[in-house]
Amino acid sequence: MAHSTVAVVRRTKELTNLQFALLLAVPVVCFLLLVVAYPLGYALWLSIESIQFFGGYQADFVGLANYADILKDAAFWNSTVISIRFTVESVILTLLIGLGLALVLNRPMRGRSLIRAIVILPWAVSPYGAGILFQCLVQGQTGLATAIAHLLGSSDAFNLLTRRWIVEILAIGNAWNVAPLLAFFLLASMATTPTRLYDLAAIDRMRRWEVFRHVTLPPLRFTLFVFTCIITVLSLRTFDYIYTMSRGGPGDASEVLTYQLYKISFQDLNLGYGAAMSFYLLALILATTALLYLLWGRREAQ
Amino acid sequence: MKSKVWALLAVAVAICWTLLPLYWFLKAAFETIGEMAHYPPYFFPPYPQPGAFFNILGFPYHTGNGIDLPASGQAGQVILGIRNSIIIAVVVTILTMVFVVPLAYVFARLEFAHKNNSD
Repeated sequence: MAHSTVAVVRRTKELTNLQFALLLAVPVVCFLLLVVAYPLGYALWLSIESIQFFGGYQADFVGLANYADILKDAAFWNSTVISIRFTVESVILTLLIGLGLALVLNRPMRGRSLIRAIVILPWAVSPYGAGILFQCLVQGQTGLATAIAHLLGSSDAFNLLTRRWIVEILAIGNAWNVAPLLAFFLLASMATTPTRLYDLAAIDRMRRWEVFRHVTLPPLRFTLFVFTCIITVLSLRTFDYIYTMSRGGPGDASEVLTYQLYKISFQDLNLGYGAAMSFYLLALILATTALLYLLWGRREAQ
Repeated sequence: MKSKVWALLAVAVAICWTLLPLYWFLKAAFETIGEMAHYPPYFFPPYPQPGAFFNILGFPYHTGNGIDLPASGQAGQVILGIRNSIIIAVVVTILTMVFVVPLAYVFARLEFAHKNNSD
């Protein structure tokens, strides 16, 4: 297909580069219109309606009432706080663990490719599967903590699925799932750092920490920024992982915004209200990434 | 010498961090339902057997120590799910290649007006 297009360009000499680019963009733009613009428009319409299913389907125009009601909804603010807490913890853990894994894997050693293949494994686990896996790992009946406690002579069950710690546990599981990808991108950046710089650092008698701070880290900063954005967005919008791991529980302790949206839209069937709330989530995601760009990204992009 | 020990330790920690959750789940796959419910949980299945892998594909399994594990009633859905996953993966890959790669080529190789308008 591509070959024939090129042939046409050569023969007629009419398409400019811009026209050629637009021509190739047409299918992608059509596809995006279909899968992004249409659902977004439909959600926008839903958000200004009150939808009822009981006693026959009925959609009434309510204007911005949904948006106003959400701001007075305690459950919404609770979910927003939990979402932000989960996201901040996920980002910090993922950056630290990803950087740590990359530093470990970057050292020359025997069997490095095998160790790399092992470390990338968690990335191959779907978030849905990771949720089931971590639930099995941390709950009292089947958990690792209970097994270790019994090995040490205790007879108590250690349930880590508690109101107090559930968000932290979720963030750890999320970091376990995502950090390998970051580690591999960091490794790719590290590979481009000339070894000459390390020799120079040795001549300067830099300490280990100084070498890390002034030689290893600078080329990684842009990757770290991009991944901070990616992990922020992924964490704010994650649903399947939390759905299988804790189902928003115990109680409402891990009801992130996406879980709240699911509950309102598909359990309570309050579609208009849910759609309006989804736009608050969208605004939160856009605002966070914009803030990250203003505070950090502008300096990295040069 | 000392730094070598630390490096080895770091690799060990990285591998444990990666494999421990996976192992805990894999272990459950080789246990029966009764063994999974055992309290305290086992570190290693007492009678490891691959019965569950046969059951989910619709085959019964008779373990060495005389337990009959019946075929899962959801085997049909499992196989359908695997088929659907394969179809989705193949179609998504083909569509992305056909539509997006030419566009990426244009952005990477050609100069045209409005190319960088996003910033």
